[in-house]
Amino acid sequence: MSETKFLVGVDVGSTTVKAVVVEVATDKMIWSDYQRHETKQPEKTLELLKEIEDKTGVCAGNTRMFITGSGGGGIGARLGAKFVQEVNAVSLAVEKLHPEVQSVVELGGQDAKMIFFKEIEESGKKKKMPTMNDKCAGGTGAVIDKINAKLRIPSEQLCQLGHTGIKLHPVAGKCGVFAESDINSLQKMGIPNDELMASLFESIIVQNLSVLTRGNTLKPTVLLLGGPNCYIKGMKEAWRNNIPKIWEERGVEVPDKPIEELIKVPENAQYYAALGAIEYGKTEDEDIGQYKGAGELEHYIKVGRQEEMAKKAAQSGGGKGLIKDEAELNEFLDRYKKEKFIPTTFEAGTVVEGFIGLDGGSTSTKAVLVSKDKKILAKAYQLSKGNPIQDTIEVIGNLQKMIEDQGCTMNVLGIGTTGYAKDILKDTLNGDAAIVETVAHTESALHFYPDTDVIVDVGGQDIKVMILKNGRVKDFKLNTQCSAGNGYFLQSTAQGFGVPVEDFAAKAFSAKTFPEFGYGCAVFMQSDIVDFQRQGWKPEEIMAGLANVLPKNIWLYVSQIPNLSSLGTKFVLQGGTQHNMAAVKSQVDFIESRFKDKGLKPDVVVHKHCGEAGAIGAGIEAARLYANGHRTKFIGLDRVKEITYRTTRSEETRCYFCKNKCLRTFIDVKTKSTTEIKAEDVPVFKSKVPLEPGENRIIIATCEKGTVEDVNAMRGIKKGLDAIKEKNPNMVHWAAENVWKSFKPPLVADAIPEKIKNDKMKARVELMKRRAELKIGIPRVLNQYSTNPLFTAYFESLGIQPQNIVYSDFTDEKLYKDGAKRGAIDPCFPSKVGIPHVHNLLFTQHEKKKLDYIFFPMIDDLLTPLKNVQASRACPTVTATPEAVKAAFTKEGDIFAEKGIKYLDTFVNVGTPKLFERQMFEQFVDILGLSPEENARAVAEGYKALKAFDDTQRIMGRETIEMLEKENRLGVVLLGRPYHNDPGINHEILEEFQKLGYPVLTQDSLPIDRDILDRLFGEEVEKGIVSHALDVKDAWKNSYSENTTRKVWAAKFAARHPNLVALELSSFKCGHDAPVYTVVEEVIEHSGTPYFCFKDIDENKPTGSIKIRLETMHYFLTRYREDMLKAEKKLEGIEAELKAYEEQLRRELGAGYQPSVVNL
Amino acid sequence: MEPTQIQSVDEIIQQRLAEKRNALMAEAGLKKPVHHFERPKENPFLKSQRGTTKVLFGGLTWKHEKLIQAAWEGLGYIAEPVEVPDVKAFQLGKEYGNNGQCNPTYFTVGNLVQHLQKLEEKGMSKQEIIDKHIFITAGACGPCRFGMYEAEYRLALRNSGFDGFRVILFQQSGGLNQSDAEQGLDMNLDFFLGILNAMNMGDLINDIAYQIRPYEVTKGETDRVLGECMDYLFGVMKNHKPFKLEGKIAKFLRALPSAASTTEYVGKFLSQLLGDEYVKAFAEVGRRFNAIEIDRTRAKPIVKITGEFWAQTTEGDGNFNMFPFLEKEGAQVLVEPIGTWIMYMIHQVVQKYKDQKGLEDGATLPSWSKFGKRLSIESNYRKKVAKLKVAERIFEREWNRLRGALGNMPHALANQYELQREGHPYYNSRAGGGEGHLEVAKNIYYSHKDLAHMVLSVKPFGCMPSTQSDGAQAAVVSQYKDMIYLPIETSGEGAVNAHSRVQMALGEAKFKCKAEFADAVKSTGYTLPEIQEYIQAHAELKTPFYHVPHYKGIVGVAASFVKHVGERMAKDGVKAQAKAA
Repeated sequence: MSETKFLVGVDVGSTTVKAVVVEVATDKMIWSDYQRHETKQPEKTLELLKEIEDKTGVCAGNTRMFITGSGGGGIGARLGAKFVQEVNAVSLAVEKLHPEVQSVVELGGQDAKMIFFKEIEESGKKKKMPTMNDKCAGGTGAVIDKINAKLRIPSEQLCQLGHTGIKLHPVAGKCGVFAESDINSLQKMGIPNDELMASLFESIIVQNLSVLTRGNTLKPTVLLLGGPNCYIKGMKEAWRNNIPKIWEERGVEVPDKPIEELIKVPENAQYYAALGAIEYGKTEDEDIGQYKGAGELEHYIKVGRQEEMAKKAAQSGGGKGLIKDEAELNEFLDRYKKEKFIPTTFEAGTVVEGFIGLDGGSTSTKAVLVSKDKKILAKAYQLSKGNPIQDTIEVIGNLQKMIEDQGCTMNVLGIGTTGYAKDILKDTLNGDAAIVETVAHTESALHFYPDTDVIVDVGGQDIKVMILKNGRVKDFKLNTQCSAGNGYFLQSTAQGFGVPVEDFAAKAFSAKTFPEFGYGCAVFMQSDIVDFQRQGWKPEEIMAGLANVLPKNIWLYVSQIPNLSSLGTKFVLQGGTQHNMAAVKSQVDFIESRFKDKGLKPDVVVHKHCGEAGAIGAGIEAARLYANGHRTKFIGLDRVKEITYRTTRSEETRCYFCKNKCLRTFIDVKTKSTTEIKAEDVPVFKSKVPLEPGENRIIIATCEKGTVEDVNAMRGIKKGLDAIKEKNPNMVHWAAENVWKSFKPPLVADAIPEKIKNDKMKARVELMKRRAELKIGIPRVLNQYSTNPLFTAYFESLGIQPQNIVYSDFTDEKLYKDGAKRGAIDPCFPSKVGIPHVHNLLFTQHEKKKLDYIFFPMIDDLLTPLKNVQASRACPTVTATPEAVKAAFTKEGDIFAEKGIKYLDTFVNVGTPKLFERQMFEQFVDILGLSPEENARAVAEGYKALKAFDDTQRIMGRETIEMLEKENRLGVVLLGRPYHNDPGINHEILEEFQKLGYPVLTQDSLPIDRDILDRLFGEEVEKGIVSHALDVKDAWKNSYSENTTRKVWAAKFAARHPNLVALELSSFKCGHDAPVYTVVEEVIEHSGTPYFCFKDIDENKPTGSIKIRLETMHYFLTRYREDMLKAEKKLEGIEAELKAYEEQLRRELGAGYQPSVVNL
Repeated sequence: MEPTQIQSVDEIIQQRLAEKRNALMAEAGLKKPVHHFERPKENPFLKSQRGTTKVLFGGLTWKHEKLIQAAWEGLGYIAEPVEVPDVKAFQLGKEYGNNGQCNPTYFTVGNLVQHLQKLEEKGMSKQEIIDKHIFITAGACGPCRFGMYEAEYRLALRNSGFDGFRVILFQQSGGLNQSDAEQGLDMNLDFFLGILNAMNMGDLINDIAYQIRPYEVTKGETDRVLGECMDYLFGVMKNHKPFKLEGKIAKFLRALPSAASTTEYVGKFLSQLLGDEYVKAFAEVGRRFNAIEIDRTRAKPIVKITGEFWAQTTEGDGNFNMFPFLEKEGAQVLVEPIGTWIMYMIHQVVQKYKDQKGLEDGATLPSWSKFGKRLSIESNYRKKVAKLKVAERIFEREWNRLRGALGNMPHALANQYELQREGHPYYNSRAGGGEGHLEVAKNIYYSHKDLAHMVLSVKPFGCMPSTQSDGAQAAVVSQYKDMIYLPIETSGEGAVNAHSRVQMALGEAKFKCKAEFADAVKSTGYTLPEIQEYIQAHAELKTPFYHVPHYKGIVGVAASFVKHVGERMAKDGVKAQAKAA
């Protein structure tokens, strides 16, 4: 081994390769460079090494090499380099170059890391606490890349985009996919790019502050590293705008220096990992990391990689591609050969009458012209240019041109719209119908394929599966908020590889083998793509792998229907993604494979107008209305061309009709020519954004009240809403409001002794007197939503004043964001908000009313009204949340102590009253000066209040059900957990149902009176199927989780009551819901009762998706009720007929009738 | 002649009306008999099927499973563990199970489906697979979803076409009173003692293998010996004859049935307590392991594994193959014995009794001034707890007997009372589900007692209790400042990221370990080559069972070892050349 002259550090990241050369003699960096590798990590590393060898004299024998980065491991082994983990490398570089730094934030392409340097007082040593993101790409540079690719901002411009002083909009940073949906809708509202990007920077920073810090404080000096932090001005600003707020709140001592020095970006930041790798190497023995030259790497690139891949392919089942051979491909392509659409031609001078169907989708706008006999005369397609009105003007223009080019004129008899922009388009054009996408797609599929059983629509953003029975939608599945496996994802992946989307299929079919993707989250798949590239998979193989995983995402992830054969045999595939034949092939194969066992072959067809199916459905609806006598008020083709519009979203558009003060978007459309504008076209009310004469305003708001500006108009709307609400009680809302109210229990405390006999008694008397002043904070979370009366009545009956029981605010975005940064873990959202609620008590409520205690009980079990259950335990996440909350506020100093508050996370067994009494006594004896007797009385009052709360709910529930029965209407039963009553957790979905005219019941409001139970369950009890009407053993065996078992029981109730339908809410990561997903669904669907669900609900509110689902559900329920009424009518007819028949029989079998003798 | 009855006019009218009603309803398309959902019936496993039915099981390490297989085969069952779950199994679990399940559910459920699919690929028909196999799994009564796994198995089996496949449950907490005991499986004392012995033996042998492997001089030697020993123990366990009443006394006692069963019961216990069949076998195993030559001067950070039960136990994709990965990265892995879990369960019941002491007489315990009343409560409580305390002692005694046979090299069982004391302030020890307070407690225990440089907690994606206890760890880590603690979420996919995170924390642990080793060498006054030379000359220092004392403040094997050797050298009067120079 000769003497080492050079130390080389290489950092192979997810997007770039960086390398530095340090001369041993001088310890100086003599060469450095970084380059984007465009997924070719080995090639780019080799290129840099060759340059290093050429320019510095580095060669095998005189150099030690240390390699880091996510791609460093494999490459390093071929170079003789020692692999050093990135965070270790970075922290060593920072320690050497910036000893004053206390925290580091490094954002990479796929990684996000933080390092906290903490001095241990006792030893004076520095302890490093590194944190790193898990597999999830949320909060990393990948999200910026993804959004930037969408907004098409040139990189130089992106680097100059700022954050300070720019208007921010809510964007979910948790997940790249959610962020994209938010950006999409903001973009559609006309928000400019700089605001979009600033909002994205903010969301990324907030995400990192609330998750990656694991509750630690980024103390000054903070070093920002990694590409996005170093190059994007807005990212630096966003950190500098956000971190000081935390310093202030947490009382961090901040040196008197400019912010640029407190939160700084060093020079050569991009090389820190490579430099740190060298630092690490210096501590290793001399024989470690001996550079053996680039030969082996070169060999690997030229030959070795292919050999390895062949081996891998052989292992994974012998080189299976999407197709076996050419013959199979040809047969397939022949079978699915698209009939070329030929627009109808007309003789010059013809007046072409028809209906325009418009589909304002997320990525494109489609228009069709449908004839009176529902033939497709012409189609037009427009990739979205960012505004649906503009897109529509163009597509309608195209349709018109197609007709006029033949010397004909077009006469529009009606317009139907669908897609996310359906309402704006209907309003702008004076259209005739705006129908929800799911309905439009069904209409269209049934028109061409009347015997369809299942429709699978895969569009740009959405996956929709509609299951039909007798030509009616029986059920539907939609992706909630995740775009896993949708068309856009396939398209963007192809673009990433530089493959035009039209060539996707040909490329994918050329792959002889492909990697197996795990289906599910798109961001996970994104990181799989990077991983596969690293392993050497070729673009075409990765694309084939993606096509292959698509059906799994549709059927197993979104729809959760592994048993496809139960749905029927005729499948219609539609949506733009079906133009991609590789995607079609894998879907056909998947569907067919699911029928093999049954010995059946399904008929899978691709809709002949697969891209325009939605628009066709809308057109058909317009035609249907016309046939029913409706006549259009369409503004006319000439006007369409002249439409002008302006979009405003600013402080001026903010709505002040409620405390939420939401920003709105005004779209002011002018469809009349100046000559036609009259004085009355100018609105009579004042607006901060005055309308120009002739303009009509379309307001995009978050609720109905915001859709107008005039306060009288708003009052009118509100009055209407109130009337609907009055007629349709919402028990979810009622329970959420009333569970916090005082139940006014009698005072059961011992009288304060007048004579004090000893010190012990003196101390007790002090405590007893203190009760009247004591202030207790309780977070509005979790099982408090079902048990709170127990605790408040306990406290109040002992002399605590009702006004001194202080609650945190209801969950909302602000409350969450203010407190979430202290969290260290990522459980379900209802648990995660525990910290923000206690934060709200500490920092908001405490300011108003000095709290003495925060009481957040660890509830281990619950009372159960059910019978024959294994146990009635609470969910362990819920039970233990108070412990995680305690840790969050005690890890960096005891915040409770600092505020003079005691935190009580009393462990209680609510379901075991005697034990509960003991636990409360042990906790409060020395706080309240309790005697065992008064404690017992107070506990009894607590249980009484709890019973009163439950009884009231059930009485109201019964009244509601009786009303439904009387009026023959439908009500919705929420199958959820107690915290789903929280409007901040249920996203106010139930309120939307209420507004649509459906009373809403909670599980706990379902009556358990004997007569109603007998009616619904009596027969089964009689037959011995269950031991009691409140037994669930027939459906669910493992009945130990109380709220889970209640859900199953409520599902059984809804399934048996003709006027109830079920809506299941389940939060993302709910471990007790997941095991009963299928059970709940089967319980309800077996009876033919409609079942709807919103699963994986989380902190972000996917408004668009909720809207589509609600509209579809409403449509579905309207039809369901129609059927119900029809059935009732038929029944009435049957009863009348039977009555007549009975009379006839009585006449016939009158007095002279001789009864027959029958054998028994 | 059949009995006859004369119908009244009314009855005839009612009958005809009913017929007419049915006809009219059918005509109107309204005749829809409502069929409410009922969960599928569970098929029994009968004693008569024992000879033709294979009992499948899994979820532990191959060592534990092999010994359980031996124990059950010794009792007359045909038993076979399923394979170690891999990513493919995980994907199948996701495909056929409910969405949103935790990671161990997907892995274990998918693994059973995969096993059955493989049988089908080999040519067995679905019906034959269903008829000739059962799967036995542990159950629980909450609060985490583990107790619902059984339903998940059934769902996945139904969705994958194995509808009717039998999943048999034994309750972890139910002990011998198996409410779900099915006739085919005789869940008697022999059955449970077999499982307990297999678990203990598996734990201990696993422990020493992980302690020896990082220091073996000849690569692969530990695994070779381990393989041999497992085959040997398999034979011992399979051929073990459970205690049975025999001879005249048996004849006599059989006349008194209850006496016979009690005597047999007691006899089985005594045979377990006094018998030395397994201890002898372990002495042989110890002899073979002790023959492996090791080099304890390799400074390797000790990484204690904690986390969720399955994730910390499995040796495959379920935890990203973490153990071999750590060893490859230069660490010594300190695995978690199942014994801790068994002791924890007994301990928790004791605590429950303690909490509910005298509750039937009132929420507040009477003071000692009401001596009689209080004494009766205390005495009832003690009686209730006594059996459990005996169980605790017996279990520990059995563990230590076998441990002794392995030269006391395996780690002692962690004391549950100490764990509770350490963990409770951060995570209430009464909060059940998953590992309860154990994760927090073990982190403190192993770091505090100088048993590990770093604690790696493997937490499956979606594990509810494990996530919450990780939240509580935030306070633990900031209060025990020297601790290196890393939680890893095992999501089934994304091994590269997980490994990178482990490397990150391991880097710190390595620094700590190296510094400690360097200090230890320095403290001896000898150079490392001098120490190594001495070791070369003393063969016993190269054997695994050679006892090295534990020095306060020293964690690593190498550091303790060189310190000890240094002391021996000084005692032997070896002169330090470097010092002299």
